[in-house]
Amino acid sequence: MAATTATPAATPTVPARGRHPAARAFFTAPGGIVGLTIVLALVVLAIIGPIVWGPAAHKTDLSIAYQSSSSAHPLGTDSLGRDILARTLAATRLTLLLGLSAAAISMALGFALGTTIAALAPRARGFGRRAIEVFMSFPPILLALFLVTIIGTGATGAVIAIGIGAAPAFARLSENCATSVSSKEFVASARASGVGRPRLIGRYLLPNMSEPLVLAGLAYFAGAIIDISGLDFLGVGVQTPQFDWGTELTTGVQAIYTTPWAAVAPAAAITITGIAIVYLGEAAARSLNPRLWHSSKGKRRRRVSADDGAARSAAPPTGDGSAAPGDEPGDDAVLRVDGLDVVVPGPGGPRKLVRGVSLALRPGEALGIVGETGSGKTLTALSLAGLVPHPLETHAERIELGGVDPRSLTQRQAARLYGTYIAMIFQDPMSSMNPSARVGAQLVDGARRHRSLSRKAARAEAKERLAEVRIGDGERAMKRYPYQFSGGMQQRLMIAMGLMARPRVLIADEPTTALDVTVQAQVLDVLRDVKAREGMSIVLISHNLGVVNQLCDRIVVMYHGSIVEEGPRERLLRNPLHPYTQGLMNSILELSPDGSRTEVAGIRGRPPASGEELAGCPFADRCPLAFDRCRRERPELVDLGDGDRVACFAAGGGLSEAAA
Amino acid sequence: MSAEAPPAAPVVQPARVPRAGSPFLRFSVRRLGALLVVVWIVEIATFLMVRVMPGDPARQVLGPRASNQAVAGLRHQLGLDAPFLSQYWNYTTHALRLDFGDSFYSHLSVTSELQARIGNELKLVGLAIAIILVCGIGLGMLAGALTANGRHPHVERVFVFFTGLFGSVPGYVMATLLALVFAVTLKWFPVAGNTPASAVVLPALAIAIPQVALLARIVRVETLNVLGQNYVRSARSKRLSTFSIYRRYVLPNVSTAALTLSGTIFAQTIGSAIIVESVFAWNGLGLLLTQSVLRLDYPVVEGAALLLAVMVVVINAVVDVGVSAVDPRSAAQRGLEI
Repeated sequence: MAATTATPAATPTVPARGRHPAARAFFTAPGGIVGLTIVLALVVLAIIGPIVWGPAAHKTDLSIAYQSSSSAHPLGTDSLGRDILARTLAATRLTLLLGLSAAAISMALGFALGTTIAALAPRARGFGRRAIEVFMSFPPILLALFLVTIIGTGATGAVIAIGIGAAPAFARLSENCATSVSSKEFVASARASGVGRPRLIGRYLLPNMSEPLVLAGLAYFAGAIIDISGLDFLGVGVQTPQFDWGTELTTGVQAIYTTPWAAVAPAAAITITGIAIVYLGEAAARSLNPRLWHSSKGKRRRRVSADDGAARSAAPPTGDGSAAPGDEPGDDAVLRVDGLDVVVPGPGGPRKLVRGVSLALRPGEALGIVGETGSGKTLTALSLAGLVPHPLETHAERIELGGVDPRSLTQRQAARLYGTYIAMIFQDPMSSMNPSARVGAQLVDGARRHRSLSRKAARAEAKERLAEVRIGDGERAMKRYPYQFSGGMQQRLMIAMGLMARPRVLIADEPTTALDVTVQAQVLDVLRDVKAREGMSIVLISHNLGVVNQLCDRIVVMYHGSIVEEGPRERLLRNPLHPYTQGLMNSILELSPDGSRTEVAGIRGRPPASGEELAGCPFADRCPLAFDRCRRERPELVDLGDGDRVACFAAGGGLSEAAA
Repeated sequence: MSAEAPPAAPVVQPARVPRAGSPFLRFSVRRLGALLVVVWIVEIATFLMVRVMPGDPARQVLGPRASNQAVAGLRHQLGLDAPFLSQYWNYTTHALRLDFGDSFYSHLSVTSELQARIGNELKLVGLAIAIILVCGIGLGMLAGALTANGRHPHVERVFVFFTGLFGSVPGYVMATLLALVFAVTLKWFPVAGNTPASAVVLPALAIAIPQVALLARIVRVETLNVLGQNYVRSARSKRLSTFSIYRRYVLPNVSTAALTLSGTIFAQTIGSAIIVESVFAWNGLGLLLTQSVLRLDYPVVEGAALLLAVMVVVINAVVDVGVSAVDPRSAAQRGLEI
């Protein structure tokens, strides 16, 4: 059960105050205290139970058989007039001992078996693994009945049977742990530095395997108590005069139609014990795993805190949406946003990850958005496509898809508008396609929904689209699954998929980043083709000016959530105005493939954390031209005419003076 | 590079599988081979069961006071007096025909005893598995959909609490509670026995409910995981309806992952059935096995144990093949691996 915490953990950020973080994690885990208290109480009961309540548990008095609750017998009496509460309490020791023994057998056998298999040669290991899996699938009760037939009925048989029954599962866990730990770097380096085998196992392997194994052991303990009680119920477990919770529960259950209360005490004991052990295990998992100390629940908090950075609240003269979108692309714009903000709600108030972005896209135009990781370019793209993930929020003064504001539509209408107007392709094509559906089905599903095509018509069209992206045998390709294609093919499939909507705008978020250089060129070719043939507008997001240069007519440079410069490709690449753009250009030179890695200025330093509120220009600290004003005041995006815009106190003048 | 598209180039890259033939088919064939091997091992185990017992099984059955002659007679009847290998040969040839001799208790042939119950067993286990699949995946996905991105934290708490509770209640307690409420109090279903047809409902529920709880937990985690995948974002970018996103993109991927993770859940239904059948006096193989173990009725124990074990193996194989039919990747990988 503990194994299902599959979420990636955030790195701890804040040091714990007061108690040791492990202890704090334990006690703040839901149920940690409850679990611990109950388990401690059970241990005490196990020790004193038979001594204190033993005599009462054995005292039979047929005259008071099957009584309900009374002051002398709070939970009533059983068929022989024995006090049920006393018997339940007195049975604690045997029950726990049997459960512990069974769990110990499972763990010892399983550990020995699992680590042996882990130490085998790969081929033999594969065989051993599958053998274990086969045994795991046999229900412990069936194995137990089998063994009980051989050994005979009774507590010993039950413990051995349940112990052996759960051993294969533990063996698999041990084998997994051993294999994964021994393949870690620190083991390899220890081995390389000549650490002896016993020490390697004792100091390096075992400590790192212990956590999941101990947790599983606790779960097996709880499971063994239930399984043994099952054998008791079938009559092949603990035999009179011995008694445990299982036998008590069985007598209670058998009389349940006449005296329902008789089963309550042992049933509650078993259930509470099981739950307490599970709680204890989960709390222990938390305290044993440093990565879980600080993040408690849900991915949400984690994702937010992963963006990191304390929100420093300064007086925010945010350069919000000041500049109107660069001149003329006036009313023929196929896509337009003004004053776009993307904010993330957080404990210190909302933080802006994208601030005041205004863009307009002309028909048939390819617009490139460039910037470093965290500059807000991908969030801008997602906002344009209406796909900003929860819990982020988008605010904009104006959003228009072909003159229509999707916010003014019903949800269904908006979905139809987005579904037919904008198509989006993503960075990693493999993970962007449904692995368990054929390519054909994924190509046609959007078109069939929004364009009401018949299956046949949709498939015919899909074939044409595949040809457009230069996938020849469309019929055959559609029958295949995504994993059967190479990365470049997959990205072309994604483009074909986007084209199926007959969109006016194609938004491509780093479409070539995950691909080889040669394949990159193919994909860009396809995009250029599509743009020419369909007259489609393209928004290309990239961190790579070189890629943008190959396709785009106009380029927007983003930094720290805002646009810092915009202009026609020719001008921007030949004569970059903003110092940041200049730095980006230098980075290209630096990485130019001619091998001459001349030391170029590049951009020193690191960008401020995304969402951080700054008084001045966010680039000031890294800027060679920065002066006083840059640190006090945030420069607004100034329109220089001819589609040129720049947000810089130092740079803007040059061009406008030159133009004037 | 650019305008002139390479005319010859577009060749669809073939699947990365070295040999021809459907990976699914190859996987199925190999899985069938593995199944036969496991059945063979189980058969050896049931053969050894009576023979590795400490002491003399014939003496166990007849008791300390029986004459040596009677014990020798029973040994002969059980085939225990022959040389070991010929015992095994005998046992195997008979087991292949499901012939395990006669029951000590009913004096009927084990074959007829098994035949009388196999149908009941299949009916019960089949219904239980259907409930587990439908409710486990349904509830888990629903909970996943509701609690994605940390929404509805109270739903998450309630879900975790109840799946934890129902997942840890012993099967026979669940069975008894169901009987108490729906049979004794409400009288909707019979308390015990195999008739009328509705009698199967309560035992099937008693088997299914704890497993539904376990499966639903796994499915919820898987659903959260799948909802975060890029292909779901792609589906959203196409603005498919929520229903088709869940049906075409989430469900298949959740099912394969959940079934792979929880493959043993289905085989465990056989284990719960053994116990639950005792509560409801459901006349299946499990009840027969339990009774025969207590009666030291070895021929029946051998037959019933072997048949149940074969059912477990078959269920596992069916789940495996089913998963690989839904998830083409796993078939390709495992077809190579096994």
